[in-house]
Amino acid sequence: MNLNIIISSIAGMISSFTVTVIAVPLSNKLAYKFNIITPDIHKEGNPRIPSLGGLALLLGMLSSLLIQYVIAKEYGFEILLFLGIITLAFIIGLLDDVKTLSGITKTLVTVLIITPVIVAYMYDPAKLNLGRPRVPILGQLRLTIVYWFLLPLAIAGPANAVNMLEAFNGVLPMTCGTISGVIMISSALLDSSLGLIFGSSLLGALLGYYPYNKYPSKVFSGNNGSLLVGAALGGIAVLARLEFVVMIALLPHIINALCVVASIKGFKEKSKIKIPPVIMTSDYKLRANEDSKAPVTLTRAILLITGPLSEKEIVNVFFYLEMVASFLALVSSIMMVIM
Amino acid sequence: MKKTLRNAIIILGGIMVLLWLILLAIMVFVEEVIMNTIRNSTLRTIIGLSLYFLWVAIIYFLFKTIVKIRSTKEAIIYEQ
Repeated sequence: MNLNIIISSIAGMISSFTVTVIAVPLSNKLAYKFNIITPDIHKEGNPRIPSLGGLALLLGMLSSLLIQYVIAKEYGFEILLFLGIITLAFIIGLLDDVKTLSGITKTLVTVLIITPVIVAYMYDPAKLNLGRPRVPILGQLRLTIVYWFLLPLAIAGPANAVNMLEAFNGVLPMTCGTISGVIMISSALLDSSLGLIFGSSLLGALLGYYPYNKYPSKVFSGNNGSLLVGAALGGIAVLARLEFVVMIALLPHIINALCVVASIKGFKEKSKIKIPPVIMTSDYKLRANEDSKAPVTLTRAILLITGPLSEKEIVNVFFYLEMVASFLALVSSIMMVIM
Repeated sequence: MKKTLRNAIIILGGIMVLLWLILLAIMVFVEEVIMNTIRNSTLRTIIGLSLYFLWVAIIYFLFKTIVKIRSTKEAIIYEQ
């Protein structure tokens, strides 16, 4: 690994952390001004929380990527592409926060986030190294034509999966921060400079964001934040060629998204789901809905095993499940190095 | 940590390990067996993608079964 890349990643991480810490109070002021506020339904009195956390994350990552653009000039093209991906995702999320999009519209629009990558590849194929994902045991998958058909889902999938699990205080920075850490370790193992550059930028921003978003939240990520972080993870998977590692690290999110989509038979906006998967008790604990027609979700599965839990306890379970998935992703990377 | 929380992490974490192993097995089967024994490219693609889709279906049906079994138990407890 090039020393320049290591210096670039450390500087990028410090920058995204610092800028995010400073930007959250400012984004909160903007959220109040433009009424981008969501009630916290899991708390007594449903306090209204500003939901523009994505802006702080975007600013943090922007500062980090610009610094890394200057230090690691040889990856300037990919850094700009990644910046395009996260900005597009943020704009789509913000649009959804301001003017609620239907489930199917949101999914279709998020598919478009891949456009910068496809355009860049068509413009100059030699600049981007795409296709044939790296996997354990086999080395590389022989995906050629099929890869291009699956590519639009590579960013839309993680973006929507992260968005669907973002329902509790602190879940997003806790789970996705762990994934960013795994991405950085895997990048070091697999000698992926891009993984280190993008991973450090995302990890720094999420570490700076966590104190504000943890229980009890002072800021919500909103769709603007969750789509941005999910798209960033998808972008890292494609551009840094860490598809398998990111997919395994995202297993709790993927399981939840697949179960929701399959059980409600399509893409629907939260408010359109008639039978809730989870019910709030009078003492502000969450209980699984026993109705057989309620959607299958990861939270419902957890609550059916444990019984009623507080929001804090559920977030802890998600964190431990993410640790298991991250461990599997790390083992996958080690297997890729050894075999 | 509560015993029920520990149980949930062990059960769901175990399922994730199982899903990871199944995915690795499917990948090896597709790359080593399907890709080397079937000559027709279209047929190879259909069978390969069907097997990956099977993995997705396993995820859903596994969780649907857990939810079904546990919700019946919960309902009985609430009725009592």
